[in-house]
Amino acid sequence: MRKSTHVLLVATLLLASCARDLQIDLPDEPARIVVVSHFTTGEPFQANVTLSQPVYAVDDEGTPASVDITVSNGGQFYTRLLRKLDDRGKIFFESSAVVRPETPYTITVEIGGYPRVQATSSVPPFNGLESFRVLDSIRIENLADGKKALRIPLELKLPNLLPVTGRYYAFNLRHEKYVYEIINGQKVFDYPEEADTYFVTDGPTLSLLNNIAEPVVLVNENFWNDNRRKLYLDAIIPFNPATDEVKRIFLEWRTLSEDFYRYHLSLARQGTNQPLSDPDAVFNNVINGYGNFSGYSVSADTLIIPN
Amino acid sequence: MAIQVKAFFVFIALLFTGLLQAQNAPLPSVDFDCQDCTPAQALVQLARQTGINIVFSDRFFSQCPPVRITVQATPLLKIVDQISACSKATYQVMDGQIVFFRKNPRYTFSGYVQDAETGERILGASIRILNEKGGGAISNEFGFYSIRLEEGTYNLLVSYLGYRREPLQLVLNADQFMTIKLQPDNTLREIVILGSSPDSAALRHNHVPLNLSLSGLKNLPMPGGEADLLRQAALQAGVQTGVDGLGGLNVRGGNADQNLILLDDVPVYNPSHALGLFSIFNTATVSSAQLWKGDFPARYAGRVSSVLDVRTRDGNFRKYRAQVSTGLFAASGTLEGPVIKEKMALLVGFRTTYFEPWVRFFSKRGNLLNFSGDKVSYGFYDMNAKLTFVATTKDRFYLSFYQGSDNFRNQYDQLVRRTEGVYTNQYTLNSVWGNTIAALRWNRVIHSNLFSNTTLRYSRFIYQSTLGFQSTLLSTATGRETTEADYAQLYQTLIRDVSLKTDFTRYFNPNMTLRWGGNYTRHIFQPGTIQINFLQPGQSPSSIDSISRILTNNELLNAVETEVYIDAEMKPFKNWMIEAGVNGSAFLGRQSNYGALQPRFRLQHTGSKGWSQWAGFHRHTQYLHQIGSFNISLPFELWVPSTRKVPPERVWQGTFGLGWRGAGWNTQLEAYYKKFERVLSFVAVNDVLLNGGAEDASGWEDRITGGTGRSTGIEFLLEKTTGPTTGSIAYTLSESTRQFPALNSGKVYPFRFDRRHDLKINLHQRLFRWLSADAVWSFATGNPITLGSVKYTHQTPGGDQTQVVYIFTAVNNYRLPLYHRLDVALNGQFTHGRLQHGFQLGVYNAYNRANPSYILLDLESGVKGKATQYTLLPLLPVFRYEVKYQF
Repeated sequence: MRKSTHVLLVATLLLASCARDLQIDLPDEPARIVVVSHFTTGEPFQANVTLSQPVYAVDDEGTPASVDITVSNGGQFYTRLLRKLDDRGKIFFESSAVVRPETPYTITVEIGGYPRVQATSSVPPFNGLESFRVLDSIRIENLADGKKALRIPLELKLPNLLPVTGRYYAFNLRHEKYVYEIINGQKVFDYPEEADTYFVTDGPTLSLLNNIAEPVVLVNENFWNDNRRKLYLDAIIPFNPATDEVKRIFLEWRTLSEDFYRYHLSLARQGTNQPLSDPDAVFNNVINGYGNFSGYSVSADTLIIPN
Repeated sequence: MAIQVKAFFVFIALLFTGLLQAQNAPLPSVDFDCQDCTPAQALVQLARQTGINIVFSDRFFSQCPPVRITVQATPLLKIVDQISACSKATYQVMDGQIVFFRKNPRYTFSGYVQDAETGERILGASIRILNEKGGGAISNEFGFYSIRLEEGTYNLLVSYLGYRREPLQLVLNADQFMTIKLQPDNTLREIVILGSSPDSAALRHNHVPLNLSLSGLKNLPMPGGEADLLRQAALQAGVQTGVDGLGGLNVRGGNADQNLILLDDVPVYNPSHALGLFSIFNTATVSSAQLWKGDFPARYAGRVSSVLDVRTRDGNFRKYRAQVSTGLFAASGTLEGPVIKEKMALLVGFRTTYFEPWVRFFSKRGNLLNFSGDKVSYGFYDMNAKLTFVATTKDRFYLSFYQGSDNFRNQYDQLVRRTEGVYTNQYTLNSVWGNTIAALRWNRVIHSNLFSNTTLRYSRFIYQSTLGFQSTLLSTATGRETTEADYAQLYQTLIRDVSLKTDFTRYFNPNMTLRWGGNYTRHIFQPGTIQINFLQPGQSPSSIDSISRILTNNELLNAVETEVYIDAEMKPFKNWMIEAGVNGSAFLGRQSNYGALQPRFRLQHTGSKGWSQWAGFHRHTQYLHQIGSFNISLPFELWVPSTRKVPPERVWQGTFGLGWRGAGWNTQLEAYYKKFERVLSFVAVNDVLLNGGAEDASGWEDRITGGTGRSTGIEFLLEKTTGPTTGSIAYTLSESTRQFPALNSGKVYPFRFDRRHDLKINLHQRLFRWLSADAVWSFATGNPITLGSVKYTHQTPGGDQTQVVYIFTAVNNYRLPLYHRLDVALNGQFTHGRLQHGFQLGVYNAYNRANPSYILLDLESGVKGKATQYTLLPLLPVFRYEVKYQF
């Protein structure tokens, strides 16, 4: 009797485990062609092509051996993308012809044994900034490590008349500083240094800016509601007063196609896939496959920082 | 849908056909002229002219002046009305004749129904007239009743669940105000476990609202033996919760924030402790609880899915009484008694938990809450107080107060060894949240058939979380310790209401009751204030550097909500009842004004042999919304108002039902169609600050997206309500979906708590006079969740950044395994003089079903479909002991 009571007690405690392994009958999704290509006016088309994998795969997907990529315009062949290697030896595909503005292009990717995929997009009409300026006095902040940082209040202003829909924008801030060497008490120019610029802003603005897997920050379309046309940012540029001089701030301003915007917004939202919250489906404009083919137009502005 | 709509109209047509058949054939229209005739002469002339017998006595018109009537093609009865206008007689058309008879004077029989032992008012007691005419009244939410009857002698039967039936003979020859005292019947209290009393139900001719039985509630086996009102509500057909209670109530496909939960008429914004494991209601202090599943009358507004109206007890007006209860998780105590005998009573209840050993148990097993620290603590407490003052026989004042709080603390220390030294990182999370509720009410019997209630209300819910991080470095080179990082973050969300509400009830006669009233509420919202202090080494904690100030979100919003309503309960014909009303509301928020008219209509026919049919249409508007990353009503999710960018939610619901009640059995089948014309969802972003699990609320207005939804279902209930064996079977077949243009590529997807099948079986067996056994078995389709099956890596040519993209072919595309669970318990009660003992002993989740709360796919193993399932509540013992003593 006593033994059986112990057995029952131990069995109960073992059964009371709260986390346990489970085998889920995941549907077998066939591998499909994945094409990722963003393009802009005057540049050649570039694309990465891979194959989708099951979520549990641990190997790198790699680039398929035989890939045929063409771009057409209005049903007519426009250009073919050829295999190339980037600086790190990674394979990508590039066209010889360049992109024309506001022209709908269709990319077609064919790999033997897989359904042919197609996607269509264009470079949207450019909607540039009306002004980009330093708003207020530039301050010097003390940082925790004893260094200093320039705090530069910036104003990015769009024209008053924005399109009713399709307010899809992204931007990137970079800066250039000159690094000097101190020789015999004299500052001697050593080399220029260019880097991404950190920025801070108020909470409501910050909540509508998304970091994405591209070298730009995505601005949520809702930011431009309420006739809001100005984006305020404080650029923070660490520097050493003894050896550094911040010279310029570069702003890259992109007007995005809806395909670009929706795709990257949906990728950004994947970051909150917490167990109990609803994740959102990823935007996909590639028929029979996955990925994104989308255009954007771009401009560059430069601000000279006074000494 | 088309079939449903057709069926609805056919039903309405049949109802009206029945109504028409119930009337006599119309009498003719005639030309009639009679100048300076006495009414008797006029009636004789009219009878001769039409050939229709008119039977009357001259005495009926002896005080009346002559009449002058000249009419053409006028309905006969209209002429009769004109002739007999001054008389104290009335008439009826019987077998083609018009028969006059003397009008009996009518008087009002009104008063309160109260507990004979404690003097507490009894809500929902039935006063049935046993004479031929039948009818009667139900005491209202303050125990008041009023019936207007003709002069005469009546046999009445007054009854309420758990009390002996009280027969009364009433000789009514003037207005009477009577306090009816019912004697508690402990035997009966143990037998009936569910639903309304048969008398009350028969009087109402109605299947709504659901009266949650408090005596039955204590017998139900629940985690730790803690009787829980929300868990009992979730046993009803059409009411669901997330797994093991997590996620609040979901009524007919509605979100948890769409339930209006009232404690003494004050809205409660967070009705749960421990993220949904327990409700805030200390059942020892609760007097009644009623649940409407969408078909609620016009006096309730502000939420679109359901109403749970919970009222607390008044306390004992005669003797002091104490009650102590202890379970595995919590202990509670209640003290009540007269402050001034028969005039003023006080009820105080307190409940606290000793949860920490269980938290450690769960945390070591890597459960849902994933408490990782070795210094984890969690606890909650409740306090209820109510002071009732009987100023006069017609004036009563109530002061109710509730304060509850949860406190979670987790401290985690980490040592990191590097070449430069040893870093000690310390994370400290401290979260406190809770409700404060107060109500000052004045009941006044303005007239024997006019009752008023005026309430000043206060409700506040606050969530505060502080997260601290400190890193110190013990240098290898110098042996000195320096502070490398130190920051503290405060997150707070708040909603606070102050409101004034007044309600009037006029009892015209047993067939007509009218309610009207209004309220004015001022809301204050603080949707997610974040303040972060970054400290420099050596800085004092109170100093904040300029960067942190910029990250501070300190938004305070005001809004005003007003509403007026009128509600009528009519019995126009025998066996027919109409509940009709309209609620008009206005909401003034930030840069926005909204208004809504919300019609409510319900028609019921009670036929012979206990059968009844009903149909209803209800429209609801909601101006307040709870938003957050999880959208399952967790305490750190924010309450926000409607604004210009965030419009109100709107829902309409149609119901059609069929029921039968008799011989201790009750069964009903109800179909519903619920259209969410506008629902909201919060779109989370990836830049979640480290704010203790809470979502940064900045820019919340621009992160809410609107969509639509639909919920359809059939609910079946079979109840046995009397005898040694009682119980119920509640089954729901339903489908609930959502559609948002900005989510799931605009496609329809299953609602998070969509469950096709939901079955609850509840059985109560009296074994001995002092001992009973209870069992509850729940079975449901698994909740939908979203799982991706395919991935790829996003990288543009030459790009430095990559992101693994999981392809969710659709939102909520996968179902968790079936949910089922058996709970069993034995309940005993003993009485020794003034001492009463009770115990509950049992098992929750008796066969230790591992019901998954969520599933995480293992993406690292390389094995297809490998996942980890997390279960919240495994097999748990149920134990409660309580003792009551009456001084």
